[in-house]
Amino acid sequence: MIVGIDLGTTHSLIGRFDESGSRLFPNALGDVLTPSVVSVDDDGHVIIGQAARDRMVSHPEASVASFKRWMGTARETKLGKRSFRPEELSALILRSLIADAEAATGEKVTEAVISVPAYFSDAQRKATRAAGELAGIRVERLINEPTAAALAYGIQEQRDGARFLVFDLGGGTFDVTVLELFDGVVEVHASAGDNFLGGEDFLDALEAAFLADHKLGSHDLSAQQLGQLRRRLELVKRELSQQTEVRLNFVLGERQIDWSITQDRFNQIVDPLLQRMRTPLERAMRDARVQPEQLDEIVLVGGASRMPLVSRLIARMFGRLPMRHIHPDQTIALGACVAAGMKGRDERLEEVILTDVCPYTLGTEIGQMDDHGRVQTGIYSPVIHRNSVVPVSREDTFWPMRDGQRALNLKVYQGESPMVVNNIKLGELEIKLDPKRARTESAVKLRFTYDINGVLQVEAQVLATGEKYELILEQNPGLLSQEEIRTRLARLDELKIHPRDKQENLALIARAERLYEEHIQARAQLQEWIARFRSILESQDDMSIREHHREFGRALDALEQMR
Amino acid sequence: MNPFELLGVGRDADEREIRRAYTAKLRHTRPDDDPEGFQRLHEAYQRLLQIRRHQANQQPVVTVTSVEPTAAPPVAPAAEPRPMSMPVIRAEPVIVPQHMDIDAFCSEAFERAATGDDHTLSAWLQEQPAFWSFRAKADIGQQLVRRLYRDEPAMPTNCLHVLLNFFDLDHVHAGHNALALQRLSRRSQLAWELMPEHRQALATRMNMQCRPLERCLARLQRPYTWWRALAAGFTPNSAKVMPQFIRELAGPFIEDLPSSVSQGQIRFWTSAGQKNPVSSGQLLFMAGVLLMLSLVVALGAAATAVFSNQSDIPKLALLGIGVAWTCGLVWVGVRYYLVVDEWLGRDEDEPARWPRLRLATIPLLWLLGLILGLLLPLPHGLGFAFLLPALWLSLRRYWRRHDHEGFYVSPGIARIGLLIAIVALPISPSWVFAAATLLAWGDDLRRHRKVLQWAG
Repeated sequence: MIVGIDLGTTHSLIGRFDESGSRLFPNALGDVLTPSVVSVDDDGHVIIGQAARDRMVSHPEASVASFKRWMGTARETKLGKRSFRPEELSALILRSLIADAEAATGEKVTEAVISVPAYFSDAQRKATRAAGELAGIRVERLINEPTAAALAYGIQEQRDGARFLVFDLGGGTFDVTVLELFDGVVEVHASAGDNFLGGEDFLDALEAAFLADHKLGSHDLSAQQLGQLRRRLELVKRELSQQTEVRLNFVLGERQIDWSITQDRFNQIVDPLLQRMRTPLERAMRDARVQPEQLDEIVLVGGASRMPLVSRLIARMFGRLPMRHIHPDQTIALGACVAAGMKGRDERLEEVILTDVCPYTLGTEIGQMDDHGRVQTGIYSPVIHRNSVVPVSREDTFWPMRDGQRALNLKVYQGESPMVVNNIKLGELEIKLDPKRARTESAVKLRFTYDINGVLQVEAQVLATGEKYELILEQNPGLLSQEEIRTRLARLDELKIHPRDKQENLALIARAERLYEEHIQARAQLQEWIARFRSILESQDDMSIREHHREFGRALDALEQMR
Repeated sequence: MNPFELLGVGRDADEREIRRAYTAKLRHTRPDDDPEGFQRLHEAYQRLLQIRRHQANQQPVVTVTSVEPTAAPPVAPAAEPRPMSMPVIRAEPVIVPQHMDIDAFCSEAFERAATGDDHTLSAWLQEQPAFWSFRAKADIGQQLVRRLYRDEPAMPTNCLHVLLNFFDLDHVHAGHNALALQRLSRRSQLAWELMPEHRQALATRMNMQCRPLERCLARLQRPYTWWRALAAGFTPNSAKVMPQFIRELAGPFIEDLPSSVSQGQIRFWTSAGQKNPVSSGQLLFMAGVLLMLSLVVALGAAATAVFSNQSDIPKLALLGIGVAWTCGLVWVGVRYYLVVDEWLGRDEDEPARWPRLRLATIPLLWLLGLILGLLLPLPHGLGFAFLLPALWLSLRRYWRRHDHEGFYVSPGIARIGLLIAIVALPISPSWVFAAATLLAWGDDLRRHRKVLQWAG
């Protein structure tokens, strides 16, 4: 079975394309959204999803979230006794999603289409693929998130000859894509974005404002308190979408803090974040050569796009109210399912063709002589220009700087800055030259090939000798080698994971433990409840467990309402 | 295959037909199945769309094409064969809100940038209502860039970046020449730093106290005259301080210093601070130092003469001055000798100035020596004056260029040669010198015959 997966910063979803179209599978708790949080409990069991998110409050040192932002780096997170790479954490999420899909269909998941932010770099894409391998599936394709959203939207709406702008503000990344639908062809014209701008940044801004108001540094709070605070502020952020003023009561040790924030103030503190959205929007429009009035629709995708200030920003820039999608959280996953259906050659998608673009420029470093005869190096020379339709293959010819040069040091970069220092280096290659040949005769032809999955291949050929070189970009320190993937896969298989049928109870305990941290006055009560529930769980009597589960859940609901 | 044939459309197909043809073909050349075929198809499609749009744009009689490619200021094309990739900015009508005075806006933006406060500048730009319009922002951005290159207004780099960043002009597709952009940034920054009110910022960057910085700058800002250069010799350590100051101020990009700084002064000081070869600046500076020394000695002598009535003091003073000047001259001579020695003895694959003269120097000296010393009835010393240096230089050249190999002369020949030389030396030293010079020079050439660059 081939599935579509949205591996998000805050939430992940899985689904597939079947008779009824895209269908998402619920997790053990009955929710299609699985929080992208991983936690490890005291006896080394891995906990994923809502329970792990609750444990962010009660056990912050053993839980981790937002690790999608570290994809493509070698950063390791220590959870309990083990440390994990971002790929491994993502793989754990994927494993949990796959288990949900397998439980829902009874079929084995073998392949997947995973969505990634359009602006994900080569290393980040490779890391996502590695995560798939670590989860034991083959990643058939990586699809850009806004493209997936457009695919879901376009298929659903069946509008022909329409131009869209998809505005995708997720938990951690921001992407803008301009695309067009005609005759069943979904043609992406341009993508732009910011890999470090998302709902989490709005939360950070809110947290900074709260701490500044009470003259607190982040060291004054324990990890537990900080986790609690962030959870509460997340709720405040959501409420601010509806209310003009939101109050927050927060107990900090001995201190009882009453805080209120108005929508105006919130708008003011997040203004720098909104300003950062202007450039990608402008760039996507410019690269697509589209004027605002030529757009038929603006589609908002991603949970954070629910904030009214986002619609206001768009209204201001485009001079109209944006069109909102019904399920901003699910659109990308639904699109990934469509892409999976296309990959699986579903006959109802036979007519649909997708052409996507490479959202960033790829090029190499060159030196140039200025008008005073000084050679200046570090200048970026693009080979594949951004927003070229993929797959794309381009070549360019370069010459050595001096006569008698023995080698050409070829460095491959990704980025938009005219100077390579500001771009991301992908790799380098040394090409041997014949020093006896004159400079003008030592041309080297470079060929960059970028495929639909965003994998770059670089070939160089010395024209005089016909000698060929190939650049292997795998050597990036942020990436895992095939061998490492195998050993890490074996180690992940050793991890203990709670069986699916126990997860509901697990989530309930995690929730109770979170409430224990949050409600000081009810601690004794909660402690007693948790102990009782644990003892009933040990009895292994399904009937009474189920009954007690219901009761316990109701009691917790009541406690949470009380606040 | 031309794009019309590839897509299977007629020459007069309109945009809609082209698209239909493209989508029809696309079903058989899917990007995931046939990447190369798809790329060809897509390129053909893009070409046709471009042609159609171009034609559509041609139809109206009045087309305003006031947006030129972004001024690519006077940076000479690189000497390398590869032309710079400079995407041409599309010519499009300029559409700007009518009430907006762009020149005034640019001037105000530059003024605000000159304060050096990037946060305020950025906030001010973000507040401008006109820039919420995509078109207006793009057009004004283009104009602003042109003004930037034309006026090179004084502003610190952080503010320049705020400006370029706000208008999204600091990327590789914005049409800048990378070198020109760097230069603009350097020039604006230097012009800003050299404004009197920003001394403190400059002092912080250069890690210097304000007063010495002030002194050095004042020196550079006076127009250059020969007597000022001579007077510079009165502060001997300035030959070290000033060139270093200039290096730290502008790096190798001294031409980017604003016009408030005298380029003559810059040239003089960089020349005075140069190691090799002997520069006019060094000579002038040396003369200044000697003048100062002479003056000191003369004054001292005069003072002593007044008080002690000794008659040899003027003579001693004169002697002192004479010694100082002779030392100066010897120093100049040695410097010149070292330069010539280095120039002649350089390896063939290293670049050297005046290659023809370099090749001919030793034979010329040798010939002059022969003519003056042996063939013409002139005093013997005149010939030596040319033959001796010729011999010395040719041996030095041989030595420098062959120090790995040594003299490869078979011992027998060497012994015979030495014997002849010893016998001939008392009879006619000039002939021996001349022969030895010729030998060293000729053998050196023989060994370099493969790499010798005859052409100048």
